[in-house]
Amino acid sequence: MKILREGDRGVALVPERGRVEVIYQYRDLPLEESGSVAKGVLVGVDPETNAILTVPAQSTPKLKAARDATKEVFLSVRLPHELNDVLNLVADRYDRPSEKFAPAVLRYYLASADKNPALVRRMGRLSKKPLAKGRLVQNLRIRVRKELGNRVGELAAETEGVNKSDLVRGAILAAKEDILDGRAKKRGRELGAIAQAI
Amino acid sequence: MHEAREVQDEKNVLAVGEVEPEFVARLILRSRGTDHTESPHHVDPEVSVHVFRPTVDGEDWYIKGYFVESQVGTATFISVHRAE
Repeated sequence: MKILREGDRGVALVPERGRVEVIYQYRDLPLEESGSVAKGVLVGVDPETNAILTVPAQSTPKLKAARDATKEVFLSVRLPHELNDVLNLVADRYDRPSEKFAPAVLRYYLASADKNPALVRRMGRLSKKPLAKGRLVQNLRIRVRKELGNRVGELAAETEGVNKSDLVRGAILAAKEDILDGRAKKRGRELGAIAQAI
Repeated sequence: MHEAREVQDEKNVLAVGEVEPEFVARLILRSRGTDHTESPHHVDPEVSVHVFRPTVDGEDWYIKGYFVESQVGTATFISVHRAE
């Protein structure tokens, strides 16, 4: 396979202009459907218009990686009935259906935990409370971005005595304290905005 | 090589790595004569565009390819789509 270098020249066919020489440069290239951007991809650029006209095969792995990064994964967690009740109560506080709002609440807490070690420790601590330790009878599946799913795994690995499921159960109890017990007004307002968007 | 116009069309499943070149080669090899057409490129009639429309394992495909000769060499353009 020939590997092109920045500065190499190639050719493209352009409507109304015919054959156009391109110069290969490293650029960021948006992906049309997923809306993601592949960074630093070798592309053929029209030196006259600065437009990207071609993408060589050697750039495909970067496009694939950018696309894969937008994919979503499921986080599956078994819950005791009581934590499911908490999620329903939180959703009810905002007058939103639980099946739509509960996943958003959890995504909010899990995303907030990134770069917030204190929240991670709090979620870990809350996951050991009796309310989180009931019989695990219900299966909760929430869709999250692949990056977030991976990050939750990393946070659990970095936190002693805690796994991904513990972080999710801890997030539910954090929502109970912040919203139902009124301990975090700012978070309450932020979740209120999210509720309005659903 | 793949065509692009400031954004990458993700329906070109070869360009975004959803299928491998070897898979595309197998699609072309399984194309019947009636699945292939050849016509001049609308931008440069000297360039022949080959289109293959095979049905493989119940799935319809659209594969377009052409070669552009120039002073800097020959560029091979190919796009591969699931036919809708």
